[in-house]
Amino acid sequence: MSDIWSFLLQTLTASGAAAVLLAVKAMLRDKLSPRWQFAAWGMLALVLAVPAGLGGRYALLNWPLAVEFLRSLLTEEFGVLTRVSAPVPLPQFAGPPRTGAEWAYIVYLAGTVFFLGRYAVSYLRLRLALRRGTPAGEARAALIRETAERYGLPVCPAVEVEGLPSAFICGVLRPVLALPAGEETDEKVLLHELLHLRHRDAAWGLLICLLRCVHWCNPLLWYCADLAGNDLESLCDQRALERLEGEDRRDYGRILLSMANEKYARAPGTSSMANGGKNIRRRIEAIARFKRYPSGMALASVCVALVLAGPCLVGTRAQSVYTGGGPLPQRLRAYAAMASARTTPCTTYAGAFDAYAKAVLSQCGIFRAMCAPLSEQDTLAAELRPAADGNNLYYHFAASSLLWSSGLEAEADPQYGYRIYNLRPVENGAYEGLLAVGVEWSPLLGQWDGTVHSRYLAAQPLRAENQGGRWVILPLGDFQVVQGDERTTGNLGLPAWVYEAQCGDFTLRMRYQTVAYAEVKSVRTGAFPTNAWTFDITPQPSGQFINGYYSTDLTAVYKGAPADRDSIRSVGVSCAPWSFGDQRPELRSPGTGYSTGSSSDGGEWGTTDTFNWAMHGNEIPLGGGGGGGSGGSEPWEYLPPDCYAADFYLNGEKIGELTLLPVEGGLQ
Amino acid sequence: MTDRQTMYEGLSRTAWGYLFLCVDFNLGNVSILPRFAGWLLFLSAIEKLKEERRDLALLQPLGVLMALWTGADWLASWAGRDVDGLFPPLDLVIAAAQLYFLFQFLTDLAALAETYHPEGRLLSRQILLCRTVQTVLVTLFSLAPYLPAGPSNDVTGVAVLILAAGYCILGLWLMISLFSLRRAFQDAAPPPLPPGPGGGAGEI
Repeated sequence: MSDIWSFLLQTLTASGAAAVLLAVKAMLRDKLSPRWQFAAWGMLALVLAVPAGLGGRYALLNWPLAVEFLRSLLTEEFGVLTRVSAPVPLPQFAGPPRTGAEWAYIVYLAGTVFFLGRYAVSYLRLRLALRRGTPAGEARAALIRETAERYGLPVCPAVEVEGLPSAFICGVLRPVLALPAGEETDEKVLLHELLHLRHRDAAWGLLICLLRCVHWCNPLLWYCADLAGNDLESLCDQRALERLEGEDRRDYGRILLSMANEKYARAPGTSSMANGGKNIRRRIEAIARFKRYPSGMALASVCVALVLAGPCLVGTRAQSVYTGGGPLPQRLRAYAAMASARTTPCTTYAGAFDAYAKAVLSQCGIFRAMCAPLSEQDTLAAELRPAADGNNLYYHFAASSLLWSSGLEAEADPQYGYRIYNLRPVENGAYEGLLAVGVEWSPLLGQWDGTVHSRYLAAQPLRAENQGGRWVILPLGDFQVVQGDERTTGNLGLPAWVYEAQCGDFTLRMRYQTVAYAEVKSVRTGAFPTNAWTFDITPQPSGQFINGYYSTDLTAVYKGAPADRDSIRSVGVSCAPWSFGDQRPELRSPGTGYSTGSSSDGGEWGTTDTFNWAMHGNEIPLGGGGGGGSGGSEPWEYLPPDCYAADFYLNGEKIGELTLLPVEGGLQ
Repeated sequence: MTDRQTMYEGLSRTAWGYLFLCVDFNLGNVSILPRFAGWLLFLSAIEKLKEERRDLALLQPLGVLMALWTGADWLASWAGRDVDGLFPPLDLVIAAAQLYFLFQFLTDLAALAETYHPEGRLLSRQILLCRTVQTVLVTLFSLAPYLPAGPSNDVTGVAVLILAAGYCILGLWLMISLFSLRRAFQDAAPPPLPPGPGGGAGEI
């Protein structure tokens, strides 16, 4: 915790878990034993020991959102994300405090130091008092040894000190049994203290004191610390009663009752049978229930603890983002929505592409904020504008009242969804790909050419990077509105990897393109029986690309003299992917007449004896293929091969064994 | 000491209550076998049986909580709403209450079977086994969202399917066991009394 916000996040997270624990413990007070009642606090200790918000998760309630909202509201900061690096305060100052938050953190640190000092002083004073005490007399020492032997418990040095209200164990590493001087100590009191010694309960007391210091300004956690201390004593009572029988049990209760009015000293690293009248009353109630706890509840105890552990310790990730609607006053919506976007990070690269694409489709600035670098959040917040300002020329499918302009000067078609072309891993664990969205209208568009495969698209190159656990999208260029030519063999209007080889008057060319679809979810917009479905515009920040395909397109380009075309009766190619260093693959014959085909190993072949030079120019299409599918496959598993091995046939004769190499310059 | 007729009534309500908990038929969004009816039957059964098993009385507050919660959920379903997930901390408290309630309730029923019926030992073991498996399965279902992701969605899906199928079979088995327990007491009980104002065996 290096600032007041991270402390706030940690202490609120712990408070939520504490409130649930208190409710469940109260509910099961008379049903599960003191052993479970104390062990349940271990869960709160773990919540306190684990930095809140770890891995973008939160326990029970979205505390990170609450803290970010408050922070943005009070400081107008949008480009920072509260992170808890450690569950204890870490003073980090670049200079004297300037802001209210920095002053608040100073006050918090001062409070922590004050409480630590107070406890340290009280412990030192206690140790000094014990040092001034006298070793236990022979009779008392013998009673201690006898009690320890009877119950199989360890012993430690014992001292007698004037003025002590009751016996207690002091110290964790070198424990001492402190006894009131001049008073008889009952064997059952010794049993209780020796049980504390055996189970090193003083260490729990020390831990509770440390947590009090760190969360000194949280009354709920102090209340829990009080209860945990009392549950520790109840547990020790249970252990003692398990070892006592008959009249001894009743005596134990009487002794406890006799301590109800005694004062006690709360010091770290101590444990005492007498812990204050109110607490002793609670312990006596627990003892009264001792024989009434239902038996055979061990499995239920463990399972109830496990059911609580998942949400409290592991937590959940925010899966939906607040986009600015609802009952919040208009003035606060942008703060809440931006805070929600920051605390709903994209945890996968596919999730980041998805959020960006849906931000473009819906012009939703909050979706963009989910996948925008933190350094851009302030600018983004300033650019958000309410939908009602009348300046939303391309407003069609806005998912938010807080609009954002992606720079796309066209009206996107949300029904088309989006695709990511040529997705590939690049350096530093990043991914690059080309976003394509369908567009219905744009001032940049010319006349529709009306061909069957034609489709107007807007395409933008993107890069997804992992920045501190958040996947963010960095646009690598502006949107280009293009006329896509969507065929089963890929989109010829969009770039692809190109492989080429020369053979006589021909250039053989292979285009290789991949396309990834996100998990497409549709939402029903009409009522039965007139069901209408529409593309679900809600981002999936942890989504995966579940559909990945590759497509190939094979052509031979004639580069000879036009007059010599007449000598060409047939052209055929057979090719297959080839990795550098591997043996050249066996290639089949492309056949005769007009035929094309492909195999599941990526092999392609095509031959034609019919040429339409007027329509295709010098390009002779030889078919194409592709593959892929949905479920489990990462789209970039279909990365282009190193090269293609190809056999070229002219007029039925094989005239060349070729290697199609990638054309320099990347995607063409 | 509770008479056998009262115990029979208590066990009848328990068996029917479990049916309401395990079986669900919906008309649109609304259940025609609402779970809250099952919890009310359990509460009524506890009232009949608590003289025999003192521990059962401890379950009454939890039963009231569960009946209120499931009742609220049923009312919300009329409006097409769902109270689950509205406030996650409350869901967690309810989950803990339900897990504990069913565990102890079945433990006590198994003890009744063993204590009061000459052939109840087998039935008792059967109920205890169902109780244990049910508790483990419910815990696994609760933990599932927090466990690390499986090797693939398919494997996880198959695992969840197997667990769900196991849970259904278990529910069926438990229902059969509870109705067997009821029948065992019916066979040994005097003829059922005519239904009175408070409801009796004839009603069920």
